[in-house]
Amino acid sequence: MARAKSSRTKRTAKKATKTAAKQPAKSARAASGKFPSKIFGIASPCSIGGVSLFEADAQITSQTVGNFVSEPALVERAVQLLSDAGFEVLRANNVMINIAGSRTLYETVFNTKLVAEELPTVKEQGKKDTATFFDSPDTSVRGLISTKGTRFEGVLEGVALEEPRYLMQNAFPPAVNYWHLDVPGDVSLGCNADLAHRDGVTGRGIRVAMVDTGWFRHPFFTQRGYRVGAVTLGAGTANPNQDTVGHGTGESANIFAVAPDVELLPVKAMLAGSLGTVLVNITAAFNDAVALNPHIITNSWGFDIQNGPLSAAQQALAASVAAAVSNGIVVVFSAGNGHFGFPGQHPDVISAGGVFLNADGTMRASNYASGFISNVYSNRRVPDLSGLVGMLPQAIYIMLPVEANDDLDRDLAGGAHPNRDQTASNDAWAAFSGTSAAAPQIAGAAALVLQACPHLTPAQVKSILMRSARDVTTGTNNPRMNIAATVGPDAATGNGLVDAHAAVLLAKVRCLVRPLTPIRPLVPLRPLLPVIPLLPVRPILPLLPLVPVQPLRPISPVLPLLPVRPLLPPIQPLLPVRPLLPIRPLAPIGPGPGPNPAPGPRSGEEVEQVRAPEGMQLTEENIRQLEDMIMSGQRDILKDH
Amino acid sequence: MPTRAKDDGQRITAQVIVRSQSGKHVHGNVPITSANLAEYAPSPADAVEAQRDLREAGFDVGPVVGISFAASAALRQFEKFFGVKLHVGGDGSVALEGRSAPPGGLELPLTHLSPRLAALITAVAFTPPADLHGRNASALF
Repeated sequence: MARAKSSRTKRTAKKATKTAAKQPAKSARAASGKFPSKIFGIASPCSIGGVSLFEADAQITSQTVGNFVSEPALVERAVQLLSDAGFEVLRANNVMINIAGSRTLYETVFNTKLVAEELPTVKEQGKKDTATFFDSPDTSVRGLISTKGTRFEGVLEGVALEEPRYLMQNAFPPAVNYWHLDVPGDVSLGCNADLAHRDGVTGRGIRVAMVDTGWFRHPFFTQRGYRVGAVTLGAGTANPNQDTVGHGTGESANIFAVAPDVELLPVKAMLAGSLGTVLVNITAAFNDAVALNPHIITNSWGFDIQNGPLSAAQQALAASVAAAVSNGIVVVFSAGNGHFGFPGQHPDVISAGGVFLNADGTMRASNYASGFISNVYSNRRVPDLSGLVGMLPQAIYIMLPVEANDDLDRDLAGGAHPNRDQTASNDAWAAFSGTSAAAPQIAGAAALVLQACPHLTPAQVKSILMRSARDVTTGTNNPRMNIAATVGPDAATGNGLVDAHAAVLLAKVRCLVRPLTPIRPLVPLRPLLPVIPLLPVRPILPLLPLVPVQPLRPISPVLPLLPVRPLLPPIQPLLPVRPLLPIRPLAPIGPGPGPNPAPGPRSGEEVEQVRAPEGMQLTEENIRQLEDMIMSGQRDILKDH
Repeated sequence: MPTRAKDDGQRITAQVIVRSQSGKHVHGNVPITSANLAEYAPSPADAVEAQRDLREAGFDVGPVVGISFAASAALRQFEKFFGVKLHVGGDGSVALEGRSAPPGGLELPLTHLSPRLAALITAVAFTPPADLHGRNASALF
């Protein structure tokens, strides 16, 4: 695909050159003094067909391009000559050589004078404007430098000066020819989130805050209808619509890949460093995220702390993390890329490590990602589990949307994988990852878990994600730690690669034995009115004693029977009992205070949830058995739930 | 560490750690987690009072989370209020003038503060710059 891209570049250059030839005479509005320090050009070695690539009527198609290729030996010689002359050779193939050099260098080597012209053009969003074009007046084709009479005559048929191009930001990623993952599809599949989505668990109702370099409204997000709240400006930041680095924008795509229906709440932290490589005032930004009261906070940054003691500033951050988790917020941190990541090693966080997923579906520990036993927190193994992360040297692995021409777009552009991402420097896409990518992937999985079972605590969410992860048994993590992945949990990948679908199933099982929705206390309850006591029942008069019945005299068989004497006196009737006075009804209980005015970290009503079958009573042992069944592949047991 | 020309109007931010309600001091060897946070948590009244004092002194203050809140102001305001000379490095770290920033972040002296405010807080510290975990990791080894 890289070849395809090169061809496209070439065609674009040709087309631009031919178009230029048809334009009116060169503008007299020369704009001298507008030359940058480096001017890019395309040098064409003499073609084997004898026709110059730059001839105005040269028709270059897939059928004719063979006429314009050059002998390899000639290309090599041209590259050598250009390098010797002082040009920077960026890329070479058998059709063209991309070079860069100063105005003076071009003028000296090719014995010409360059001029700058302001000409009309169309920029981003279809905006009509002017742009600066460079030209050599010696030729009739705009931007073309002739090599006639120079040492390059017979080697190069000409040099075309690059023209300004304004690319539209595209929702589709560029094509590249190395193994990488796209968002959302590949990352969703790699995290096994698609099956959860098919069950309707997509993160709906869950709010995820992300503390990073900011967020840019790329078409990748808008055209998919992802929900993103207003960017919160952290201390020292400005311009909520811009992400000059691209890190926050790009990594946030990992969240939506796993949990497409969450609401993202970006918090922009202040940048410093020569290329915006560090975040400043980060505790303040984290606290701003906590104040948004989200369900989850994901963080793709940290400090390198191998040993204690922690400084006051670090303790303040540790306490902020602890407070967030104590308030029911799930906090995810990247473990680091060779860092002894902090707060990635804080025991309250879900620590995100890295697993590399090969094209054949096999997994191994990422040698870019950190994993270690903490010296700061006893018995703390880092990471807890892993997301998808690339390999050394640059972890160029996930094609992510960024702001056009931002730091990542430029820094990773061009070149060849694995050192560069082979995309353009202003195409608003860059391939990168690191445990920065793993943290939002795991945050997305946590969002699915919380949708499936909203009342889970952060510790339970972490436990479910770890229990459901796929064990990774090969590879070693970052060379700074050099820990091998083994069977079972280890410090290379934690419990392995996140499995969002299995995690959701375990969450559903957990929900079967817990109260489904937290019952809010009705505050204040109005006291019940006292029940009026019953009037005492009058004592029932005792029955008069019965007079004993006199024994019958023996019946004389001869004598007539004597009449039986009646029983006297008759039994007196019972005195009637006085009826009870009716009980006064209880006064009605006053209504509750309505919606909770102090929002907790989660409201059970906000999110859709799984309901336990009527009357289902499960013990912890039942739950463990169900979990074992799910983890052994019997996942249909919850099909109807 | 790269340095740059001093801009005393530059806004900087520090974390203000409020004294704990229990009287227990934050100690670097006892990391704070959710299990022991309550021992170090400030009383809401102390936190509000400290925030008010700093706000009245010209600082912007953030929400109290855990044991601290953020206080932001121009560099010169920090210098005046805490009686120190500061500079900001190219990596955004704050240090005493002529010194390097401590790896764990600079702590400001509290001796220049009013006794009342000094009694309410235990530390004012600048958070050191944090690394992004999506790039430039190979610089570490």
